[in-house]
Amino acid sequence: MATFPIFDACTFFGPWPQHPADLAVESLLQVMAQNGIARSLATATTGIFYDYRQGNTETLQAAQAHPQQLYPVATLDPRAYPEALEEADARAQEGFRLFRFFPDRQCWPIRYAPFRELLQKCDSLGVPVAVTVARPGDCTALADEVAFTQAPLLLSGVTPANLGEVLSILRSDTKFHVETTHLLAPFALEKIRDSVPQGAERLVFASYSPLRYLSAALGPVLTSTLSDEHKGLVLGGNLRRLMTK
Amino acid sequence: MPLIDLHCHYGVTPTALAVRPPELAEAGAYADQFGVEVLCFAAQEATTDLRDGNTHLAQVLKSDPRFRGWLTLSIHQPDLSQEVARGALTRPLWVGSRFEQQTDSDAVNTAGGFELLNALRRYGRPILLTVTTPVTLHAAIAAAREFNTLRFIVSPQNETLMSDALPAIKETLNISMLPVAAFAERDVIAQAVATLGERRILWGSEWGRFHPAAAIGMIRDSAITGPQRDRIVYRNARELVANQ
Repeated sequence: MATFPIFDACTFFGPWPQHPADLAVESLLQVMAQNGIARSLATATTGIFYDYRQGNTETLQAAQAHPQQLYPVATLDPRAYPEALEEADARAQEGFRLFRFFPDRQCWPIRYAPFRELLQKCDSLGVPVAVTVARPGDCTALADEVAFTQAPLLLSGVTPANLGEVLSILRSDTKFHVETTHLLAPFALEKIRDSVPQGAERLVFASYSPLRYLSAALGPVLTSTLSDEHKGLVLGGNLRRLMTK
Repeated sequence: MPLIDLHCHYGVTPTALAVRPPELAEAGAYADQFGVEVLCFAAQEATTDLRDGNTHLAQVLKSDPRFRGWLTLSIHQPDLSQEVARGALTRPLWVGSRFEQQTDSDAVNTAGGFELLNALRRYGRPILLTVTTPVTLHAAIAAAREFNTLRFIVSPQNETLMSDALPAIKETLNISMLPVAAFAERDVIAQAVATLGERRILWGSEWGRFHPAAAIGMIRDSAITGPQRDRIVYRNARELVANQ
């Protein structure tokens, strides 16, 4: 087990339509306790699949009920334009320090005018965003859309299949960071460490727990050839830095 | 806890082109680190060149007594597949044969596919089938029902198929499930045990394609008993390998 506090950048609670998993808040807390996770950034799945406003309210309630373990992450849905702009304002005021976007789950393209405007809004609020870039070309399109922004940006859903594309984007601008969840190819973490400027500082541990097995995400980090210092950054230091910028 | 890793990859895998393929020596180090008794490799090269890909794999398998192989065959090249099988599947180096169903056009339940599977009956070795779509999943089930004296191992290649496959293969008793940690949502292992029983679930890390710690983490986090875990990661595979 790691000797440093572990922070998990992406966890969920609520219903997941395609999988009958137990994603109750209590399950998330139990998995965190079993694996020594100090704190998790949590998002209500209701906000992804049903209504982002209701999901954000549920997220806030869960975080308020478990302030030592959970940190609220809001979702914004650009299909709900222009109300999503007001939601961004309101949730930033409530203390949400990260906004997540799910273009793959919600079936909208990265090149999408409402999304562009929301990115601009998040940037003006100084709130980092996380965007799922699971499809080939998504990351490239996103980099084009956010050329003007300053806030850190977390690339989510990156798999070994689109790692090459993501490496190119990571090299282009230090504001890009990448979640480790699906980076399960051998030496993928080492590849980012070695081929990207400040590579180890751009990796952020995220498990998608309790939807996915937490140890399946944690094991590859702990058994990688990253130094202990770099593991500490990946497993919490980098996320803390991003959230306090 | 001893392990038998039933599915490792040798060579360049198309889903991980941005990273260097690990060396075989690193497979040995992985086996040492985690206590893996046997590692069963498939040659990625053989998916495009049946003869050379399997030949190259056979050469490297001899470098470590813990290494065994899956003979990659193709329904699109039935004559060559039968020739390759004749030269290999009587030898203990090979666990069995393996078919990649990457798309619906690779479904094994075609006339040519059934002809090839029929020819493989004489070796009595298990047949590993990857499934990538509902069509290829149902092709695997149809093949298992047609050749019910053969043992089939199905390895779903995405999250949705993993869950869908469990009820679909439940009644086809000569199919075992080989989950992939990269596509496993929690707690599909416990669901598989509840649906199929622990004797029909196998374990492989996809070493060479994915970091093996992910598959070890998957089995560690599963809500199953110790004896069930031991059966999945070791004893089922031990029986499979020992039967040759």
